[in-house]
Amino acid sequence: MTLGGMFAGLFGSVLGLGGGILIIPMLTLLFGIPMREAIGVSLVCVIATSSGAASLYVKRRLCDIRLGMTLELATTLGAIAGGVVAGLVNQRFLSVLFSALLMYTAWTMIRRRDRGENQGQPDSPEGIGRYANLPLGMGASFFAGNVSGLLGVGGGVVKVPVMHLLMGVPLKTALATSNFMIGVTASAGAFVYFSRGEVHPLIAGSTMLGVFLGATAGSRLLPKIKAEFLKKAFVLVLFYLSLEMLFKGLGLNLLF
Amino acid sequence: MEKKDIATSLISGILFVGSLCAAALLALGLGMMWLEPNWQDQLTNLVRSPLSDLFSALLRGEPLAIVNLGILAMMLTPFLRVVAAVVSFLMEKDHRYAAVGIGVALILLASIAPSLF
Repeated sequence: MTLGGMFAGLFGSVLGLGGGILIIPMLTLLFGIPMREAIGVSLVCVIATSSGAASLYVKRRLCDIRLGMTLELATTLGAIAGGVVAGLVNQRFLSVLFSALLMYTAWTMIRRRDRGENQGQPDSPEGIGRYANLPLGMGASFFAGNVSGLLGVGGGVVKVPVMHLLMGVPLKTALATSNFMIGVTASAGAFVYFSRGEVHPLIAGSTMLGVFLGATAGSRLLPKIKAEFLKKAFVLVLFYLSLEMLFKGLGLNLLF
Repeated sequence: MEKKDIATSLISGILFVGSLCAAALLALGLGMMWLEPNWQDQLTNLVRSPLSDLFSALLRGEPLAIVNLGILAMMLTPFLRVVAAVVSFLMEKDHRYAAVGIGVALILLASIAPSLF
């Protein structure tokens, strides 16, 4: 599990994904852990990856802290609601929803590659009045928090396009600010699972330690790695995992 | 050091130290556990209310309690970051965003509270 966590942390940080998108398929498909427990563990791991990276982003002044804190009002409420709803719905339904999220993430990675990423300049944190569509951004942030609490991911895949395309936040600032918000959002959701006893200490501890080590190594390797080929390969892996999770949700098995 | 530099250092420092402390506690607890015979048996021991007897288990030096403390340290790091941001905004006399931060802290406390009992 620690090795699997290292793998998730390493590839997650190199490819710009939170660990959750990889941790949940690993825990459910490889180790047979029930979906809700996997989500609880994943949320704790997502805090670990986010905190390390956010520390660096804040230090380099890449985040808009005021924008992040304002949107956190919505993401935390969304995450708590998502965590509560996850406790009420069928675990198979969660698998099917997660499968859709994997498919969407893979599709986003393809589009991101085509458009070219890391455009835009880092921004200096001031007031947030200069951003457009704040009420819409708050609504979308609630939804992003909901996805996070319901499915155990960071929700960056929703937040970054919303901030960048809807609110006019420069892409680099949106990426850093989304990461800054993920720890708080995941923490709000994680405590809902923790209070239900769905964060198994050994599974969470082993995976989180691996994720932390993998993400630390990944952030150091990042400047030396050409991630484009890895991304192409990874899109295929995500499509495959999406199908596996869909079949698991439907009570069927793929050949492998 | 300017006030804004203090804010950046405080928030960044809490995130860094919090996650490092949590990882160190996890490594210690898991290391102690893996040295014990039959440690795999504990995989089936799902702790329903981990906080209720955490402190007494810590005093007994139980590895699982140290792992749990590491997980809690990681889960509480974002809350401490929010508190640090509120303090920073107050130092900058930015009362509007201090209020926003207090709002986020209160929502987080609402999610933490059920785990305490």
